[in-house]
Amino acid sequence: PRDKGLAVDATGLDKDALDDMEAIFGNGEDYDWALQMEEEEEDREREAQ
Amino acid sequence: DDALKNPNKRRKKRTDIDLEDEIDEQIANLKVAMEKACVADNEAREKGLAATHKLQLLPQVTALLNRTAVQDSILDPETNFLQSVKYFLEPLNDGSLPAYSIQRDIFNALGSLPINKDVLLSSGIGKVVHFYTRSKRPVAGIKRIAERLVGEWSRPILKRTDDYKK
Repeated sequence: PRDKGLAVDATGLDKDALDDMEAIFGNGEDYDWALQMEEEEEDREREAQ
Repeated sequence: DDALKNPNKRRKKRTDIDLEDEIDEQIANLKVAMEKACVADNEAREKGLAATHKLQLLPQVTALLNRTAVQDSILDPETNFLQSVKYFLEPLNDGSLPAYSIQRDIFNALGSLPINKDVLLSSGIGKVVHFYTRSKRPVAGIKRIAERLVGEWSRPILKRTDDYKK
């Protein structure tokens, strides 16, 4: 499983900052379809070997 | 009286405004062309053809991004040129990334632009750059720039919390 969120330490962040971070960088689901296709492709390649 | 002291003042100002309008129009036209190119490239991939439309526009896009004199217009959240730039970087419908030269030229240009919170919020460019940090497809050099940009762009937002506490 891939890490969904950003590599930041969210400890001590207020809600506004977290909301801004999500509005700017997404909630980790924006391009999930592409990442899923990537993983499926890798699986297929592994099986083909 | 003013006219006597500086007869060129009014004329000069008008030229500035004309120039600004001209640039805004140029950006607006390029945005339309860029969005069409993204659609055309997706259609080409679906037909098993090479995606060349974005590549053809790339020199124009990079030239504009690197023109420091028009940075204000490019980074204006209302003009929202970076939204079209985001579309250029997005994965295609088949999950593939745009051509390497597109990634390289745009990421390099983004690295030297003073991108603030407003333009990040209006353009959504941060979402696609974040995607490049997560995907395994980009080469190491591109991933490094993407990671650096996410760091740079999030710093002022995260810092605000610290300032607030002090």
